[in-house]
Amino acid sequence: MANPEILSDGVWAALERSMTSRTTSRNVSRRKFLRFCSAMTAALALPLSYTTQVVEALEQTRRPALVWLEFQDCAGNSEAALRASHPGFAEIVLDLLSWNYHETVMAPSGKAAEKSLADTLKDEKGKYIAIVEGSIPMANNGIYCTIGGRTALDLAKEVCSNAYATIAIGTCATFGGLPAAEGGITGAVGVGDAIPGLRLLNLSGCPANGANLAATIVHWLTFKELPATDSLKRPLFAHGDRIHDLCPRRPHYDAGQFVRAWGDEGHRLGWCLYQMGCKGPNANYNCPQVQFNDATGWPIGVGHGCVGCASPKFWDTMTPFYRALPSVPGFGAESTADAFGTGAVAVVAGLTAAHAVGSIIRNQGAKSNGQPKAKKTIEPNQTPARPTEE
Amino acid sequence: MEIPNSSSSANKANGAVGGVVDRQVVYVWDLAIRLTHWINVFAILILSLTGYFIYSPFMEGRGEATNQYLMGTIRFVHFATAFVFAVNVLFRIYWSFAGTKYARWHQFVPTSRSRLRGLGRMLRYYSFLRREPPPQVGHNPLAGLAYTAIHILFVIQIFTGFALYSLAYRTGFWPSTFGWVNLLMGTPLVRLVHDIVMWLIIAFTIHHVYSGILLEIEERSGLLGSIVTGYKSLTPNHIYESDTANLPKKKP
Repeated sequence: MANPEILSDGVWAALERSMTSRTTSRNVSRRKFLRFCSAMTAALALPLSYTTQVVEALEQTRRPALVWLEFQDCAGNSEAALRASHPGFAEIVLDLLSWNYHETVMAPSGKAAEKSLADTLKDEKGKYIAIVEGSIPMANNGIYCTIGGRTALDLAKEVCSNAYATIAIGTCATFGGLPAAEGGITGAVGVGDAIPGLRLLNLSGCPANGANLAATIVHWLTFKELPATDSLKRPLFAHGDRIHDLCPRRPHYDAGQFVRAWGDEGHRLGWCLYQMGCKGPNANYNCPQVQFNDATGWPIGVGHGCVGCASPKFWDTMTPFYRALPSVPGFGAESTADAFGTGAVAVVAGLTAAHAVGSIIRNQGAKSNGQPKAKKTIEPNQTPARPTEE
Repeated sequence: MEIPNSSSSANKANGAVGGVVDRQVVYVWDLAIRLTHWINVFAILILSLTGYFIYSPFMEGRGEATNQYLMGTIRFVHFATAFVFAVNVLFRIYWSFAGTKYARWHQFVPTSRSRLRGLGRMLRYYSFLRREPPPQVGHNPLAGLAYTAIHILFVIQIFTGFALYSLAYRTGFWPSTFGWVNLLMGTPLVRLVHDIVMWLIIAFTIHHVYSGILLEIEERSGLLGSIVTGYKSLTPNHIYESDTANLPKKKP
């Protein structure tokens, strides 16, 4: 290819309803499109040689339908996906698929919106992708989240079971997230727990990275299947490695160089945040590689510890965020493992010392009374009798 | 049981008044018991020190990170020692079914009537309600039960430890064998348990050493030395008890 920019106008525009024709018609240059394809190949952790395959697949895409449901959520994952500005996300991904239903961004409302959902379910049955954002309340028959008079569970069951596949996006949809944290009354669960047996992919994270969503869609369009997953159904390309093992601050961890207080010298030098409660050693995510906000930053990159947002039950298991270890259950919010441990050792040491004093007093008493120490005297070579007890 | 003739040195300081107790030297702890004990001692010492450093580094690598590997070295020592400790504990559990008389499981789990009775006697002794510690050749029943508890703590420590170790691996033996611990509890709680169990083991060690010294002073049986040599110097009372300790029926 001599000059892709020129080629894009000539050859590719001829393919009717193909990806390229649509992107060129919306002023996405061939260069931008190829940049997007290589970025997606990299995000999927594929060798660069796969870029050609990705390009060809996206060029021939026939705009599969997509339905985006929102339940107990903050729309943060919608925000993250739509604002992801890896080369041309908005222009390209929105055009790759026919986004038929997405409450936050769709133009129709009310009955018209409901109709577009019903039409998709009927016309694209078994072919569309369902994306679920937000947790599904199970308590009290799911009355805590209803849309158009139907519960979240009811809607999700119909939409997800008729889809080719379901993508749960964000920690709420994957594992229940914040609504499932201790104290929640809605009985919130993730999609996988609410509707077992789905062909499901968990794109966890708070929010899930838009680049990972794009890469998942690209993977599906290229290879006609969902990416390989871990035991929690999270794609391995995004959740295979531990943040701790990918972290650019890792050399400081291995060197034993830690931030001890916010703003101290170590913090200014970019040392390891483990002592400040960073949960990077407990979390599997590709944040260090893909990053957020146009790949300009991510939590540890800007000097804040990881909070392990993509993990199951993340709020309950990962808090307190600013301590290396959680509080000891049942001993108050401020109790640390150290205080508990040294306390337990001190109690045992104290009891032991007291017992030692008691033993000394007893032995002194026995001596001064002139009492024989042994209750029973045994003559040499005598067959031992059963010792008398008590 | 082999009971060699008593040596004259074993006869001193028997504590009996009005008669000389004929002490006999008895081989109580076989080599495997003593070796596993001392490997445990050094492993726990190293693991506690390095483990506490990993949780809360009390030293700092100075200068450029390129030239430092302080945490890395300490973690390596922790992991290497952990493997030794784990194999040691595993072997000790095996030895409690295959070892000599005083190494076996019935010394740790009191099932016979006399061992169960011994529990109460030992408790009464510890709470000053009984003058003399009940005679035993091997572990007293209460100590045996404490060692069962400490081995449960060891196993918890091994499982939580290897669960944390498995986090560095995507797939393979470690995640598939120990990964469920992390999924069950959440990794920070695994770390908390791993830390607290360390403190419990340290607390146990304090009592363990104290009660060893206490009983040595009371009985003068060479208890402290026996974990090195394997031999105790015992009165006929002890030896009688040891023969009946595991028999449910009374002797005439």
